[in-house]
Amino acid sequence: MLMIITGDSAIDIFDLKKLLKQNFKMKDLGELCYFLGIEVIQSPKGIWLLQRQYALNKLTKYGLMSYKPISIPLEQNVKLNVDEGDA
Amino acid sequence: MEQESQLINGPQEFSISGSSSTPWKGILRSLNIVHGSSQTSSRNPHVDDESSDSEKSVGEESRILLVITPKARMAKKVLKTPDNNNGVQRSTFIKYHVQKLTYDGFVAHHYTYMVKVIQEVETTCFEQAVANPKWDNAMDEEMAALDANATWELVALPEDKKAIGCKWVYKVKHNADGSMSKYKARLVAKGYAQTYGIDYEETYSPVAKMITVRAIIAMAATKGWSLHQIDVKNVFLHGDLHEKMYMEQPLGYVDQTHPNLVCRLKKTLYGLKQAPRAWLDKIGQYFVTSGFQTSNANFSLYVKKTDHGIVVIVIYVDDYHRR
Repeated sequence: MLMIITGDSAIDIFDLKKLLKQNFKMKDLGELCYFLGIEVIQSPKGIWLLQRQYALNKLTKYGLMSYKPISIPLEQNVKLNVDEGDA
Repeated sequence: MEQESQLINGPQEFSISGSSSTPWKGILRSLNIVHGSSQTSSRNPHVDDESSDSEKSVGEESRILLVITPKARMAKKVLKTPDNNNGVQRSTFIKYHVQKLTYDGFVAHHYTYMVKVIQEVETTCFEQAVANPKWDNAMDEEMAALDANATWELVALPEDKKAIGCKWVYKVKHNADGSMSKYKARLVAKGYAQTYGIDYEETYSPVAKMITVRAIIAMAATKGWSLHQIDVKNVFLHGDLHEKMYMEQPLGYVDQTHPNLVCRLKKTLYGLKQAPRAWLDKIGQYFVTSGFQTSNANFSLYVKKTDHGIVVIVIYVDDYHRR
């Protein structure tokens, strides 16, 4: 079980962590940087969410690590139409 | 069967069966598998021709035995098995389809790692564990922890109730370099014997949906909040148990003066169906008494407004790490 804590009151977050650690067995992982396969990078400009590790794991699992990366795997400039193609 | 398992679990040979979760599984893939050459892998047709059905089934026995030793060896075992139909002892060749794994092709670094890992053998059997001082200590530790937590009290079993069983589970914890870090014995309740409506009611654990987590992160991004994460240990052990649950006294730790009493569980134990739910209830209560409000949309979301600002908590299950 994991907990994400956020808010604008640093003092209250600090106190909460301290109380939680006293009452339950917990490990403070510090700043959030990884959850459910998503990497989190926090910066003053904003928060980046990336699934790099997840993608790497999948590629390794299916033995595709030696494949060349391509920026757009889909065919470009295809116009999809409601009336065409198989349902 | 017992004879067989003895053979397989013998001290010199380490067997891998598909169902058991050993730390080897990953390692196995990188090993060279050498097929036994001189062993017969198919049954002997002459036996089948003359024998009855029951004997056929014996003759058909062909087991896969993985032998992992630093030096490759052959394995061929003769078993004396009683023939059930006519009560006569007869010798049967169990034809092991032997696949040998050797370390010979390993570089020194991996060799040392493997040797470190296989030095510590996990047992599944209490009788073996109790004879080993390391596992015996581990069980003592676990019992002390359960006592300190006031997990149960000894009572007489009411007539209309049934006590569920429990089991010791043994695990060797390894450090990243393969060296042994700890012997861990864990007492696990046989939760599968619990009956819905009697032994447990609610098992649903309301944990955060992805969309909640994303919404919180989006909010943190726009407001410039920092995100923190806390890992909660022993979720299974801290919950209070509301149902009246009875469990047999753990093997090896039966109260000598009251061997007929059972454990009335007061706290949740590993394996109980309601354990995670009970923990969430408990921590939820804790948050509410500390002034947090639960979100109506998602019960794993807690918010508190203070003089200094706002604190938001989201609880979720990590399916990417252990457990």
